[in-house]
Amino acid sequence: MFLALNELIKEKSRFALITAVIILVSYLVFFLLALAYGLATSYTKAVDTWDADSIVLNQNANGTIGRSIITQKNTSLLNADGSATDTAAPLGVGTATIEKDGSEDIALFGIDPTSFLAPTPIEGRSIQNEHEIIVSNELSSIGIKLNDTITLQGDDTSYIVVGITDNASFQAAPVLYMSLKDWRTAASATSGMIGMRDDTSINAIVLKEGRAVDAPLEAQSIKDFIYTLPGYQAQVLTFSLMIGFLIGIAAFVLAIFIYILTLQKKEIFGVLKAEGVPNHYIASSVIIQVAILSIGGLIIGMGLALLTGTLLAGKVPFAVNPVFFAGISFLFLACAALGALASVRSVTKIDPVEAIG
Amino acid sequence: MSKQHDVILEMKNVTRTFTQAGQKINALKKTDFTIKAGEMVAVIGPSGSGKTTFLTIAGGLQNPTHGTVIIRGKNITKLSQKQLSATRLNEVGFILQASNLVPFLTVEKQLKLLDKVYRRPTDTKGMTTLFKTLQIEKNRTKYPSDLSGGERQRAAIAKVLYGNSNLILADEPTASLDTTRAFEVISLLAKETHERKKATIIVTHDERLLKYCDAVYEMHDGELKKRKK
Ligand SMILES: Nc1ncnc2c1ncn2[C@@H]1O[C@H](COP(=O)(O)OP(=O)(O)OP(=O)(O)O)[C@@H](O)[C@H]1O
Ligand SMILES: [Mg+2]
Repeated sequence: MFLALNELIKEKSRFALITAVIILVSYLVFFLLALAYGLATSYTKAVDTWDADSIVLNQNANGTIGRSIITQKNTSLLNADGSATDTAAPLGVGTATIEKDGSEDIALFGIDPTSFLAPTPIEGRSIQNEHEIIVSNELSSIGIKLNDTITLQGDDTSYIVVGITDNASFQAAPVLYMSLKDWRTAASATSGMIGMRDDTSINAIVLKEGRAVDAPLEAQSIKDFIYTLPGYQAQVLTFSLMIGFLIGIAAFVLAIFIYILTLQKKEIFGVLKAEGVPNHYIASSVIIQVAILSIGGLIIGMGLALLTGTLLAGKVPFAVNPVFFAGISFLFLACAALGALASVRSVTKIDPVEAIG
Repeated sequence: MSKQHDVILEMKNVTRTFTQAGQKINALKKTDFTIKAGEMVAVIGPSGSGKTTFLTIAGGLQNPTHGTVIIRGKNITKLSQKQLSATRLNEVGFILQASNLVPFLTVEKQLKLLDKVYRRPTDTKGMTTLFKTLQIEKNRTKYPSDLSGGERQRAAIAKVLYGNSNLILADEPTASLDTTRAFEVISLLAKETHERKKATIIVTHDERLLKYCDAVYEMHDGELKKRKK
């Protein structure tokens, strides 16, 4: 402790530089991580709130929800009138463009408003009547608020916003929830395929509990479903690789830094060893320094990343996953410890005779 | 100090050979040597004659090829690295040509480091007395890089005297000093050696310093001989 602290005091500027590097590197890593995680969750946030086990699609859709069509005669998973049971809920999806102060592409979710797929509004109420919708709070950026009346491009129907919900995005687009009946009209109108309307068709059935289903339907776990969303896998993989390499290289640089720092002091340590100062005393001094530098740098870097995330809130998809943050902190510290261990090894290997001779 | 440890260092039949590129170098030929508490002796000799080898064996930094080294009654030739390190810590103090001060510690903290390693409280009074005697009181809070060569050597002496070491080994401690400073440092060392009953061995090239020593040894090709007064 004595040696470690006194050196930090004497060599303030040198250690400040090294800490700065650690801070910047961890800042970069944490910030990118939160961005990548934010982007990934914006693909799936709405799906995550279902807390469901699996999703049933038509076999022929090859796992693509937009291509999956399920009609009443295909299934007995739902009630006879097509409404949701406690564990199975119908879902229609689509895309549309909403217009207010600006226009924004959204994901259309047709649901049974009494099913577990119905969003919990953070403002307003749930859907009770025809032409009532609940929208993602992200749409406030184009001025949509509670009790507004909106239309969708290509659809003449007016909808009234009765509720606002959060955590509602799908494939990076904010979600607009409506009843299945409205959805059938809206989806066919906005895609210009009114002739396709069928009073019973939906895209998928979401299951709370895993269950075997008969052809032509096919169940898929939610995890697999998310993974096969177009673009999701490529994006997650790209970011994972990028961040993985970044962390690997950063941690390696950190370890080398610490090792070089110790090598520079080889002569001093040699003299101390000649004087009979035990190895463990010198080693613990090295370890304490590494701990102070890496933990301090890590915490400041993380703090900066969180601060940046708060400042940029709403402008970038910034999301913190505590598990990932903790994991990366751990990896970082482990690499620093590795550098420290290599240093300690080199300390024990110093021959004190060389310091004197 | 107990009577039986009046002899601080005893070397019996000590030799040291190095093998380099298949050739044997007898760096230290058969050597017998004894030094008592309160004595300061000098070892002089040409470059490469084996002075540093002698000193490092005496201080438990390397083992002799043959023979025994006994510090205050304890044979140190059979000790493990760890035990040797502990012996050096408790018995031996080194003063080197290039200062052996830690560059990032102030003079005062060089001494405090010893307290930390020994896990003992700081003897502030003893420290102040030492600094006064060695005339480096005003340099207490300076770093080694801000000291003159003489001040640095005196700080190194303060460090050695502040430790427990009974055996002080100095390898050309005055090489970086001018004559006046060298005389000052050596006479100080002689005085402290006598008063504190230490045993001091100084390796030097400088004949003029020998008058401060109780005995002079000459090293030639690994052979140590006492010079007649
Ligand atoms: N580790 C070693 N390996 C091989 N030879 C060595 C080693 N250490 C010392 N020697 C040899 O032993 C001899 C004595 O060396 P030593 O360092 O004791 O000389 P010295 O009297 O201290 O010389 P100087 O006055 O130049 O410091 C030299 O010939 C040297 O080359
Ligand atoms: Mg020498």
